[in-house]
Amino acid sequence: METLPFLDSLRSRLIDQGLPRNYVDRTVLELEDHFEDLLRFSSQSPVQLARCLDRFGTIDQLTQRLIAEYRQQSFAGRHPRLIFGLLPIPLSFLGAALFYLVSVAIIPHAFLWLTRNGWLIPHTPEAQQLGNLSAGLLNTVGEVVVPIACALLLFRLAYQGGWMKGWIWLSSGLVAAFCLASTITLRIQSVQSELGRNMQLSLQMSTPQSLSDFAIQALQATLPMLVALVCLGLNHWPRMPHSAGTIDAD
Amino acid sequence: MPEIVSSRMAPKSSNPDFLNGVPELLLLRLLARRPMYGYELVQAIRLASDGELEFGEGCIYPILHRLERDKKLASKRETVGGRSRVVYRVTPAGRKKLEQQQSLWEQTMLAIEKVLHGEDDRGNASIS
Repeated sequence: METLPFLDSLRSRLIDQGLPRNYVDRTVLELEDHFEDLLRFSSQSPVQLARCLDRFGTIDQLTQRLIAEYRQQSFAGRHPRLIFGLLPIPLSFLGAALFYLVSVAIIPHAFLWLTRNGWLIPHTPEAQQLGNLSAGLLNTVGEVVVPIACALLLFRLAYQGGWMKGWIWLSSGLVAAFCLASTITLRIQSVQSELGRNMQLSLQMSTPQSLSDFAIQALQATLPMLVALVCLGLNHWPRMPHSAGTIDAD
Repeated sequence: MPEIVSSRMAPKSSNPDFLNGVPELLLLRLLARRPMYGYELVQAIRLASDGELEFGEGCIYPILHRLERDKKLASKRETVGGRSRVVYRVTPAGRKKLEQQQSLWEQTMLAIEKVLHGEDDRGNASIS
């Protein structure tokens, strides 16, 4: 049976309102089955048909109910302003702090391991060079990875909360986060020539000084925005309908 | 034909707001007896209540999905009467929830009954 036009309209409305595509597809499929049964078990008189439609509920009612029920399920669904308006800022700081703390914790052990195995000799220009190189690499990776990780987390929350349409809030939140992340960054510094042992974490203002700084900040802002656009685009992409169920009862 | 649905307003026979929470209770109760799919459930509610309980039939699905997400129900696409349907069944957590909800509902009903049909005058006495 072809999808009924009003169910297509319902599907479009739900997706436009930000509900995940796979949930919408599954629900519309069930509604289609239900409506098919309603018609099958009712006589085809106009009165019966009108009663069927009355019993099924209007498209407005269904849209409202489905959205309300879905968003009620998660904290992000119930508190979108908090999650997508305020969370990005502390999230960017915490994400950066976590990344660099883990890095600082791991690197000295890596250097120690290299030294013990005889692959690296301390207090040599090569060792100093490697220390600087690894610190620089981590800084660059952190500048890109952290914002993207934050963006993915926010979109995960948007998906769970049924707020995939909240791209305006998300975008503004993300922009704020990236601005903060790029002007105040946590950076690893390799100190003297003691390899990883003396690596320290410092908080410093880093306003863009050169074209490359601008380029890095632009990249920081652009990549997560691309992630946002891809996620939103995927939500509008048709998928396979809901297949089997989830859990066996007993 | 389907356009009629989109242009209509609310069905004339929807139950009032104080029945919030009742659909969940009824669904759990009916599914505890045997697994059913959506249309079957609606028919079972109508039959069991002699047609007294009616609501937008499509609105049953968000409730079923919520219960499923809360692990109170499990669903599986099965072939029923030669047709593929999503069949729901109650999980052990759902049975527990049903017992709690039913007990709460019975207590509430008892309290309402006392207020509506109580013979003493305690309600008025406390106000005055």
